[in-house]
Amino acid sequence: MRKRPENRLRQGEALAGYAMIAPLFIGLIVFYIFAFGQNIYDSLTNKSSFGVPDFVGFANYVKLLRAPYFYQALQNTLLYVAICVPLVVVFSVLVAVLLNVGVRGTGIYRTLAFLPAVTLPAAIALMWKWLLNYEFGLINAGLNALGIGSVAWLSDPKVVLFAVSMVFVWGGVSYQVIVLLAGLQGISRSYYEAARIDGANSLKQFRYITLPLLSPSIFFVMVTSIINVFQIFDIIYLIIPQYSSGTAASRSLATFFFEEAFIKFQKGYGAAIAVAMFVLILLVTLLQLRLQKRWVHYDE
Amino acid sequence: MKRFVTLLVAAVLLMAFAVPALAEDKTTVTFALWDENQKPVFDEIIAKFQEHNPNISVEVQLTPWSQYWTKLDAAMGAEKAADVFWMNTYLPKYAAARVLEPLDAYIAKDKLDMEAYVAVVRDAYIIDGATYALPKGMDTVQVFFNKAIFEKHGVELPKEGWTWDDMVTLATQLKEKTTVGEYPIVMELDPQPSYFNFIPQDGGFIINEDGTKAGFDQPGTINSYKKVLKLMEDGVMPDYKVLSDTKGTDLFLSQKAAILFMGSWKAMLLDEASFAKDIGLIPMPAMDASNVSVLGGLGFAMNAKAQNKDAAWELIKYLAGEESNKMQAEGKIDMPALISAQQYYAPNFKNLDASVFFKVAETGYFFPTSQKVAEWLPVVMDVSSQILSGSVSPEDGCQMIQEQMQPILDSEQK
Repeated sequence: MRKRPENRLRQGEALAGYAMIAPLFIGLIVFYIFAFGQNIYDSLTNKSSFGVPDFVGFANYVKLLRAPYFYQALQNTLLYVAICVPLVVVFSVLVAVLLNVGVRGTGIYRTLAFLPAVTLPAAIALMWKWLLNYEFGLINAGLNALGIGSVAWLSDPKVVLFAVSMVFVWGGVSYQVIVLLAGLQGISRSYYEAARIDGANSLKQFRYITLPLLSPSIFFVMVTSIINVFQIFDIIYLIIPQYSSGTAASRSLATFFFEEAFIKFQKGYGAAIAVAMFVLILLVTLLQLRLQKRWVHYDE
Repeated sequence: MKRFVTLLVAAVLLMAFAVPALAEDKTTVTFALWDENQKPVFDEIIAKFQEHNPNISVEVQLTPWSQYWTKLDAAMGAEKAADVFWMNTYLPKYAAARVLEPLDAYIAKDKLDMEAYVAVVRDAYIIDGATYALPKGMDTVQVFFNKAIFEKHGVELPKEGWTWDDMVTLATQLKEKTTVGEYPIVMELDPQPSYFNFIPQDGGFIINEDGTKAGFDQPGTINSYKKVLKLMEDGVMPDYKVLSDTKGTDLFLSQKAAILFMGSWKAMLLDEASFAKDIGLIPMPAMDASNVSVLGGLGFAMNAKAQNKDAAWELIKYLAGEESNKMQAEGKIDMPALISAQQYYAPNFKNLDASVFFKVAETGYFFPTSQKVAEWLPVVMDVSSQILSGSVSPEDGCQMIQEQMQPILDSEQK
């Protein structure tokens, strides 16, 4: 008999809880889950500018698998992943460890390291666009002073992918540094003290204490970096000049998607590209979850 | 919090009901455009229009270029698109989809004189005998040159009626005397100010008259690319690396270049240069066939599902008429295609001779287009940039374009 009001209370609490997450949850359903389903449906139609789209089955996917542009974009994207992810991981671990040492003025260094993460991507891209400019760029001025000569960072098909990667790494490291710093703070000092008593030098401490105990954070950094790089778009869109000869060599899957869906107005086809990207990222992420058992140590 | 929510709800309700209530006894016409810079002038034009037509109220809808077409398409599907809107080279697609109102009956009813417009621009909006838009304005492409650089080096100035070879000769003379970092010729290598002129000038074509054939298998088309490449090889024009990173106009403005191929849309900027009094204007040099140049321009089109078509027509007629053209010309936002209003545009220039724009317009041809221009134009631009950067040969590149563009044109015929 006494349980009843309590149940009611609990029900009320649950309702209040649902009500509180409702705004986010409804947004999630409308803008993500529903849109995701709609996108899969659209990928099976010839949706274009207007008119009722016809159902075309897997025609868009067949077209995609036959498109040379797709393979080139895929290859470029995999190259971006191969170049950017290791660099982001290595640099962010390095910077995080250095910032964790606790020299004088750490606060200033941390702020500086975090600046790119709070800067507008458009501002970053515009700044780099000028630094990398062939004729007037600071980087080429430096290279010329060293006697190396100018490099067409944004136009030479052989170089442009590296230029984009460089900008991505520069902008991508700082957010990950924060994640890793938090991970580092969670490692108990007592491990290092014990190691020091046992005579381990800093390098060994880093190898046998820091790295294993930081591995969950590194894993997180890796997974999010890979997803970010797979979706690389804004930097390419902003720093590669329109009509540049580097357009094809820098085109990523996301850029390819954008061009087909929003420049050529082939929305059904664009949806198919988006689904292909989703499957690809899903597979890579599953693979990583599988492999993590081999190197990620969770502190039990 | 509660009070805030109540207020918010009230505000939303108010907005939902207030607008139709206010407009009750007036006809409302919606008008969509994408250029933020031109909107202030259009606000003035609309205010004038409403003075003349007190029973029509116009709602101007500004949508940035990046979303304009996506939004227009979606709104068309939902039958919520603006009644009158800016239209560009995509016109054939919208005409074919029958979402544009043919204007011929209105033109005939009001006895509008269509001869009053630059013929090429007017005809660009006629498809299968039906007129789908009235001209807003036009852009021309011509050559700007820095007289001071020519005179400094004692090289003759370009003269009207010059040919491509004449230009190469002058440029070679300039090159012998210029220092590192100075260029005789610069261009911006997007289609409108460069190769879309050269292709027909050398006897090729981009797309044939009836829009069924791509012309990238034509010897003239291939040759025109070769001539541009030759300029780079001979060092009279900077190569693609420079031109792709730095706009040709910027090089010209920093007085590093003697000859600039450029559209009228940058003329205002050039007129404000410190050395503007030294800038000469001349029609393009002739290649093997001619020196015709591309004309661009926008038009005002009517939604076939417009609520009140007579009111929408009144707006279009006014927008394309004398007073609106005068205001656009004096506001320095567009060069009139209405011949009688061109006199208001020329005085904007303190230094440049604007008569060249109008002269060039007489022989110009309109920016090539077709129903699926949005699909083939990116291909043309993508491969052209590869040709001009030397990553593929003109022959192979043109073949690549032809092989991708022709099937797109074929699919329009279905």
